Amino acid sequence: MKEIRALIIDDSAVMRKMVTRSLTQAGLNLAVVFEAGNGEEALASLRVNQVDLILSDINMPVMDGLEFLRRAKEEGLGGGAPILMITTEGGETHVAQAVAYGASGYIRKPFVPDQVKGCILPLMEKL
Amino acid sequence: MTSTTHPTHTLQQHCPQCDALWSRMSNPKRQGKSRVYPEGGWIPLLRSAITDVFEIMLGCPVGVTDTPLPTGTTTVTAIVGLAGQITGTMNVRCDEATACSMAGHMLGIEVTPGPESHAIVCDALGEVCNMVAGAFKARIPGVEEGCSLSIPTVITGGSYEIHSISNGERVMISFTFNESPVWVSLDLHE
Repeated sequence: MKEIRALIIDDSAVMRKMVTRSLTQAGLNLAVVFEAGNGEEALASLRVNQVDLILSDINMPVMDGLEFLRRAKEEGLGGGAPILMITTEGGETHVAQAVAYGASGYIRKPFVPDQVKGCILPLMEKL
Repeated sequence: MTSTTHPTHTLQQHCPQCDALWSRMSNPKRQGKSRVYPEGGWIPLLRSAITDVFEIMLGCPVGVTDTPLPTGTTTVTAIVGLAGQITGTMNVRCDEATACSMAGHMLGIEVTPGPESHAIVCDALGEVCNMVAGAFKARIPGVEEGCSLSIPTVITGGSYEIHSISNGERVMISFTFNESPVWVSLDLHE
């Protein structure tokens, strides 16, 4: 499998590590993992880094995940990399908004590694 | 954290389904229930949310205990606010060693108590509380869309109590994680 550059956005450093571990368990060949603690940091990261996959929480301080999606789309950042939301906020409105702003998928916390695998592998096969 | 307290009546019982200790506390002068009240009450939903988060994300089943909240020993408490159709707070509280154990399970490493692990332990317990609150609200029919969660706040210390100054009710569940007690309380405003 191709080497993947991933950006993981979550205000919890522990959750960022858990997501990284889930990606490895899903069989992804991670070349590099960029981390951001909120949407603003994620936008800054995307301005200087190329990524193949973005995973983002929604409920974060400074800039939340939905605003991040909106701004990334507006500024044309991310180079079309698939964006997967991993969050406790699983309401239909949040999902619809995330999809409207360009999210490719949605995983609800708590999640098992197989869910991450099931969502991400089809996206990665398109790369 | 302390705040103005009001006289309260506390009812302690064991949950008929899971035998966990729970208490319902109400202010006799300002008694009331949340605007939303699920059939069967809050306990089964809260218990189910706790079980899912600990079994799925921490890979550890929870056990039963009726250990009372400690006084005078250092504990870590994570608090997440709920606002909307249901309003209040969700608290997860345990001793420092148990919080380290939770962080260790989440990260797949050993985490020992100390200044160098403090931030990561607070982060982990905050995330546990966030996930329990999220899983809990998702289980309340019709509420998912109408309730937002705050960013977690974490308190550490040896002697503190958390009081709600609003109308409403408190539900508390105690359980064991790795044989150590953990307390989850839900304070709902009217």
